[in-house]
Amino acid sequence: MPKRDNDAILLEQMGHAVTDLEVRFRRSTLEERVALRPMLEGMLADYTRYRLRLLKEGTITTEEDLREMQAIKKEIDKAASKQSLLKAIARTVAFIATKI
Amino acid sequence: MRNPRHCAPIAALVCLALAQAGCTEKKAQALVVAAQTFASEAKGAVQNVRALYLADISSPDETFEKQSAQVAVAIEKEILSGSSMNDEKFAELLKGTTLSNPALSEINQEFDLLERAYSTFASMYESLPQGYLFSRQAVKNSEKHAINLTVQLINMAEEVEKHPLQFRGRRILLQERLKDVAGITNEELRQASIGILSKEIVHLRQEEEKANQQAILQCLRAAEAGKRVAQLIRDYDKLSLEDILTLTGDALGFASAITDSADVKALVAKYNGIRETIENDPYWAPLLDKAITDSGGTN
Repeated sequence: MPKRDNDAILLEQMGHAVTDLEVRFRRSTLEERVALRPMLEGMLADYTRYRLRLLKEGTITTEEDLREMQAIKKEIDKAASKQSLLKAIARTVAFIATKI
Repeated sequence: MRNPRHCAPIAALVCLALAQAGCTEKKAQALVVAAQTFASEAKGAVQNVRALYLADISSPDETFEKQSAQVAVAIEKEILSGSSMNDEKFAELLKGTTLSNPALSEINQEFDLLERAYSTFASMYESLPQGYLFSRQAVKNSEKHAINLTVQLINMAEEVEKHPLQFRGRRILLQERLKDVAGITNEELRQASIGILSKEIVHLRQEEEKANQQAILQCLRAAEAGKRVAQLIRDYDKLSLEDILTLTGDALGFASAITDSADVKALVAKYNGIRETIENDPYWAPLLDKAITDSGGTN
């Protein structure tokens, strides 16, 4: 059995706590639900943010990278315009050459 | 007036350049297809992983009838307890058992960014077949992104493998039904209910495992496609059109082999090895944004 990391243990504990509390919440009276809701929603948000933090540790892309890729796209688009102009000129030169 | 003797060699050169360009244009088109394949596989992977995360933090998905029944039970409890209704309790009654999660939008923002990254990557090359003569440097500059986006997919697969996700809403509903079964006094009915529940519990376990595995495999399929795009860019000038088509074809064949593979752990380990190779490669390492690659957490 592979050794589990601390994140796995903590995630499991948080997940159990949120699920158990939600099961209890759903069976509670309205008065109890009013009291339990902020705690439960807070725990769910903490659990979600913990998951998000671990996901982000593996994320490399930033908004800056997106801007860089868009700039590269513009460069290639510009190159396409330049190339189509060049092709037009080349064809014209070739045409003229055949007429001389 | 131009000397006709000068025009003839120019015309010959132009014809030669255009003929050569035909081959290079096809190479550019092959790169476009490879990048689009990568983006499509990667978007599929991000969508799979997003669905898993949302299932992991979601409350049970319930029908109108079930919600109405829950409201009725809550009203009944209020009447039996003899307490009076006030606006705070009525507001709670209206909310039902649905929870609000302020971190939900943060998770969605993260996945939106990831999806946009892969779409933007593929869109970079859209005009390449028309502009390859002047795009050499731009294509070279895009290599860094191909590598980063590939490694990112390996990291995502590893994260799902290390910390599998659950169908939380379904787990909650099954736990509720287990509590209900304990209250059934008729032995025959109780045994029948336990039998049904047991099957549903096994189904849940199988479906959770399958969903996690599929997400991991899709990430690795996409990473394979990304690795090939990075290779194509790296060796673009050296490769013939045939080499490029073979590389792209191999990537597609390998990707479908990944889908059929059952040994997810071994595959994740293999791709972790590929990530390490990229990190230690003297050519690729400087292009890799190192922010995340030591997947440590709080270990």
